[in-house]
Amino acid sequence: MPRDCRLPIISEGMSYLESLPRRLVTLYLPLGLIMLVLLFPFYWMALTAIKPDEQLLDLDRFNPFWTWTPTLKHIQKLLFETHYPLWLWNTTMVAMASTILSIIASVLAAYAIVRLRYRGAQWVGGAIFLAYLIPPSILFIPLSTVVFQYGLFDTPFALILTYPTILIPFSTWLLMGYFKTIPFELEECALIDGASRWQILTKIVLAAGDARADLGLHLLLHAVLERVHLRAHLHLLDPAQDGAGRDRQRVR
Amino acid sequence: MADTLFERPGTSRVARDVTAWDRLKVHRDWLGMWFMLPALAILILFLAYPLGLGVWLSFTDARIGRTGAFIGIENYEWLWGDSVFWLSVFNTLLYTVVASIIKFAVGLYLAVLLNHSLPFKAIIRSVVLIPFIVPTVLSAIAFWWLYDSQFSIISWSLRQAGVITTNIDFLGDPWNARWSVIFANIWRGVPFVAITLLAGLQTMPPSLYEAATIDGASRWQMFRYITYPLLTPIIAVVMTFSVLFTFTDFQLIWAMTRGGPVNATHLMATLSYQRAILAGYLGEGAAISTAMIPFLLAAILLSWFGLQRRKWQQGESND
Repeated sequence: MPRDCRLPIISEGMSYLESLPRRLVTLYLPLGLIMLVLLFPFYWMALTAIKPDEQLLDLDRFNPFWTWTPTLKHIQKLLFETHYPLWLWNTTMVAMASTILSIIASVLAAYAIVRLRYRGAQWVGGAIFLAYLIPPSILFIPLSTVVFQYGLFDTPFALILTYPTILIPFSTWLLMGYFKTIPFELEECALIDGASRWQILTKIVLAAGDARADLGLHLLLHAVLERVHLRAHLHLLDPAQDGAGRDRQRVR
Repeated sequence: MADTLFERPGTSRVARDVTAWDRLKVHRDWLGMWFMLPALAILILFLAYPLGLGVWLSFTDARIGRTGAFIGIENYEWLWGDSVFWLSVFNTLLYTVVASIIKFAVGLYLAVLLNHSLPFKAIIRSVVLIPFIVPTVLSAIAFWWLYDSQFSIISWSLRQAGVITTNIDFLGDPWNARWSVIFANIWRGVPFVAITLLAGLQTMPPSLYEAATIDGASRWQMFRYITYPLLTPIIAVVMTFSVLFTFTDFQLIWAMTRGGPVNATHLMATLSYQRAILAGYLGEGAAISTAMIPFLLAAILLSWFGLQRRKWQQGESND
């Protein structure tokens, strides 16, 4: 069974050599500690969200690690007394739009680099990888100017069009690897049968696997997460920023 | 390959020369260009051009709302004598070096632990990834609350345990603040390092460990002489990414300390943002972020040429 051979021996074959106390000390204890540190902030945030105010502020009279009187007051305030639903909607829209844009662009680009192999395709492939290494934080100052130059300031397009700069290199790079796994013969047969490149891409290459769904999900997640970040960059640009201005921008 | 003209079956056509239009439709180079067009357009308009513009801005005295004139290296001369800039360089290097080393060590340790056979293996592995998946700003706010000078649960627990008598001022004291943000960064980065290295560990051939066991190797020797050397390519990739994104970190610092107290946690990215966007001196801010590029290039070149050149760089599978 060749598949089994790829499983690490430490986990499958030799672990019986370890006694339970030894495993407890060398494995479960450190693992538990690391997991505790990694997860505690989330527990703490969730707990803070449902604790009543007086318990949040008075650590001495109440046990801070637990609450017996959870409240939905904070969440209710967020949903009904702030513009939170609108922000959520904006986030979703921008994430969806930039994800769709990125997927279309990177599927086409990855296919061309891997399968059309036009002159210089290898160099473009390398450049795409390098583009992924360019960190957003050296881009945000010039981007603030560029967004003005293109007339996109204060529109959702400022975000929808800038996110793909992070997403496209990543997804193109991922898709290039995926496209290479699809056998050439499939395409050659299709070409002989008179299919166009477009038909090959949509009916054979993309249909040959379920990578689309995975990638889409991943990119969507990426976009939603980074959204908060770039919004801060692009919308704090208003030089005449007062309280009302900030509020208006936050609402955007 | 079959990149010449192909007729649809059934369409009868007399042979004729390949017209320019046909060439635009089917020639490999032209077709490649059409396919690349959307991606290239976005990358050129929103990545390459801004990158060049940033470098250009650093040589001008541009402000927000005013295009600047070329002033040579005056911005850099000014930064050279600016103690806050040098402080931010020091902070950035400290932040990157300390956080990367600990992230690597803890990440590798966690990867080895996760590689054991565990109950609920799949669940544990996905749970470990949560800190990496959650938006940085969100986890930064969680830490900001954990580090609060009055209501910090860490201070409270230590006080209850009798270790300290007064609350720790996590984000108010320069060195406390530095270690606090470094810890938050490590917390966020460890899962990424661990899961990527775990993927590498899973491909290790078990026969090597069997042979080593027969030869009487200790666990440490097995790790040192089998696991570690085989893992180096993946370590190189992970650490390049880790160093790169730690060096240019912005969100975590900005959400937690905004560079304070007294600029003690200002990284180059946050300082450039403050100078360029908040203070309006685009030229100076651009000079600070351009000053990051040599460091980044060094890191990239190290992974591109110095460490083994690998197929993953061209998008092929790992080997």
